Amino acid sequence: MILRRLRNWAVTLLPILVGLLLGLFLVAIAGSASGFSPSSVLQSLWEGAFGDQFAIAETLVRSIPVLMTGLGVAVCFRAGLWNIGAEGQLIIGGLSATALLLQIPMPTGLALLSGSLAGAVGGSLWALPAALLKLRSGINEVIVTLLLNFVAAGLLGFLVTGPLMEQEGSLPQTDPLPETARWTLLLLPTRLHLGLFFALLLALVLHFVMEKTVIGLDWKAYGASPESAKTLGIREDRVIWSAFLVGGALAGIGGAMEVMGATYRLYEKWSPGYGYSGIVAALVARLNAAALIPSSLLLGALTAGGLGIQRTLGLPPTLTWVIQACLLLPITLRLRPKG
Amino acid sequence: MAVSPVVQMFGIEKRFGEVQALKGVDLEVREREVHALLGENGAGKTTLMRILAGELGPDKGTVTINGQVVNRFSPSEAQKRGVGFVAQNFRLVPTLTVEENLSLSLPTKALCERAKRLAQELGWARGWDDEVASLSLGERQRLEIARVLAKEPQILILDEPTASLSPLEVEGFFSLLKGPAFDGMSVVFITHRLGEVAQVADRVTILRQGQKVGTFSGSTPIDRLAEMMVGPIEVRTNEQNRMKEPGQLLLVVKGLWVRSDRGTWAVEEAHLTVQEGEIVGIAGVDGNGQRELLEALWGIRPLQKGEVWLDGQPIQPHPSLWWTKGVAFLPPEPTRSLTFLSWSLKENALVRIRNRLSFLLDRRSASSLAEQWRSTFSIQADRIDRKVEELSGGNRQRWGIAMAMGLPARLLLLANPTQGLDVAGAAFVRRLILQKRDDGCGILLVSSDLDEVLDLSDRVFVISRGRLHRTEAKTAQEVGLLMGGVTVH
Repeated sequence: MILRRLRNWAVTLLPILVGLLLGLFLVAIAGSASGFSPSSVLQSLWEGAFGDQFAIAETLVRSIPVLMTGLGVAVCFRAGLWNIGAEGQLIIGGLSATALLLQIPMPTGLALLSGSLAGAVGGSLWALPAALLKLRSGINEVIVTLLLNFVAAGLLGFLVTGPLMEQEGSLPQTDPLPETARWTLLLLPTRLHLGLFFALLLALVLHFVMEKTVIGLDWKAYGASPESAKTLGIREDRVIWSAFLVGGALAGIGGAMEVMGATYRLYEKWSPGYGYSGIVAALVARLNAAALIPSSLLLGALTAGGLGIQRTLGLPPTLTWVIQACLLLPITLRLRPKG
Repeated sequence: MAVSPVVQMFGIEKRFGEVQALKGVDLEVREREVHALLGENGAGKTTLMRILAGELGPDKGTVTINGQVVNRFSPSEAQKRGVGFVAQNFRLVPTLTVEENLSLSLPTKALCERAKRLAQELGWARGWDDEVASLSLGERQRLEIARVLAKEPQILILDEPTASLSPLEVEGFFSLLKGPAFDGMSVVFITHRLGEVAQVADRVTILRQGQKVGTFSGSTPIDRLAEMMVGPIEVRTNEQNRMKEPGQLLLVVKGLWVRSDRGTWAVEEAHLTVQEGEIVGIAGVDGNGQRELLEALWGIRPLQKGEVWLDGQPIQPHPSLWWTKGVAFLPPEPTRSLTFLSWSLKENALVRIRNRLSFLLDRRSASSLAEQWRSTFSIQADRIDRKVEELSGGNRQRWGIAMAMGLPARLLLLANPTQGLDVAGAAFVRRLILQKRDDGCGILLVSSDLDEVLDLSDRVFVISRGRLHRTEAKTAQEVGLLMGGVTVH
């Protein structure tokens, strides 16, 4: 029994380790091509993620939106719905929260609550076209969700240079959120904020929903075999609507959290691709909501580490996307069609 | 007739995890003979043939084809040596057309043309541009056989070729087997139907629990074969049809019209009723609208016209509604559309009881239910966290039946409940059906096994080209004629 459990752990962790090592190896090579020794590249990557209090805080802050989008992705993937649109849902979530909080001044508690709600509603609305088109016309959700990412990014670009542009000054960004609409900072002078615990709470709630409730079972059953699920009384339309609704809401809350906890304002290229990192995190966690906590931490560390190599060596932070892609490879190799 | 062996297998052993599937089996196939491989589900028939077809390597033992020892086990190697394998689960891509499927595995145009010609010889009546998904199982089988035959194998392996065919189709298939399409070939066919052995086999090898019982002449009496196949236990039950007064009216179907996947009428104006404590049988050759009728009744296919009533009230059929009202459904292919192959037995049971739950899952009940089904339905699995896909074919089938019939029900809709089961398994399911009937359950039994319908049913319908005919006929012959569109007076 213990042996079997150990073997299961090894089978789960080994592909992640292989992907990580492969990615680090490639990044080290890329670094040496730019004239840096492999060890200095890896060192600044490490220090960017875990080097000091600031680095660790930054890792944690970056992992929050990854965790939230990862949860949203996990819900949909579990239901066999390939929602690639967490990035767009995150952006629209952030936009909705910002628009609301800049318009209506509110006391702290209410602001955080209504900002998160606005994020959830925005994210859901951005996911629902995929559900509608899939149910009505059988259009593949991958295409709809992916394209809506670009629409969302374009919309953000338009709004921060137009209607939502800051009142004073001429930068393409929104005004900062009022103090009352910001998550409490935990570890001054770092950016670590209380939203972290809200995200962890949501992860645990979602884990409970997925493992212990009928709706979680419905998602998984429909994902494993739509035909059997339908024969056994699971309503296809409810599965598709609810998965996109919840998935979009989680990513949207992630966007609201990012703006209320970390950036306080929106600007062009506001998300460095959290929604895509969320997909990687969800797959690394094998679509398990609880396992998403450590896996999004890993992705957060990579994002923070990427900033480290930019700061100390001047290498592009996007280099860490190589590692993210390498993490996916061994996992997608193991994924196989279910039927 | 020459009697030189084309295939010789010696002392073949094969283990899958903890299961020793083959325990030192010998087999000899002669030139131009039809050799039956007889045994119950899980006896090791398919495993032995997958080794011959190069899909599996044996742990021990040797395989000789035409006097040459096989060292490398791969499907292409076996094909080069003239072995053709028609698997029980057809290897066709359902979303592609017939034509596309043929050209996938047959590299040249000439081969495709030959496959088409062979398919026509086998009685092909569909278009080449039809999607494979729209074909019946019997049609898929014909396509698969034609595809394998096109490569002109010297040794043809057929895994349970009659499992998905209706009685009439079986007759036709056997006459083909004796006909020119298969001329000059050695044919090994896997079966657990005793009657087929006497009908077509020159010789028969019997396997039981991974061991060879012996090789015998095809004319060995059926009861002898049965005894050797199942071992010393007595399995046949007396399926006396006890008449009991049927109770209240449960299901009423009024003038139902249903379309097929291709948009044609699959069911035309079907009327029928099922009362408590009676079995209403629908006999018919597969592909005459049975699937569409059941799917429409179950609410997973739109019904164009007509009404469905339960307990004297019209209802809009939907699976979740049916389950909560105590109505259960065994679909035509339960492993595909009632079970979750990649899930464990207990997780499967969890989905089965979901309609009783409002919010929280009840894993404990699901586990005890899975345990109970595992013993009641004799599922050969050591633990309930085994996945369904880890079970053998017959066990998967029984698991599907457990999912459908394992909980109390007032009304059962059953499609081919004993298809793919061995003698013991089929007898068990028939007993279960009769017992449910005696408990007051109403049962709609749709089956292409004519004897089964006649043995079990209190009232019999025949479905032919989408139309239901009530019949009082009492013999298989008479009903068989009806199914063929001949009216008996």
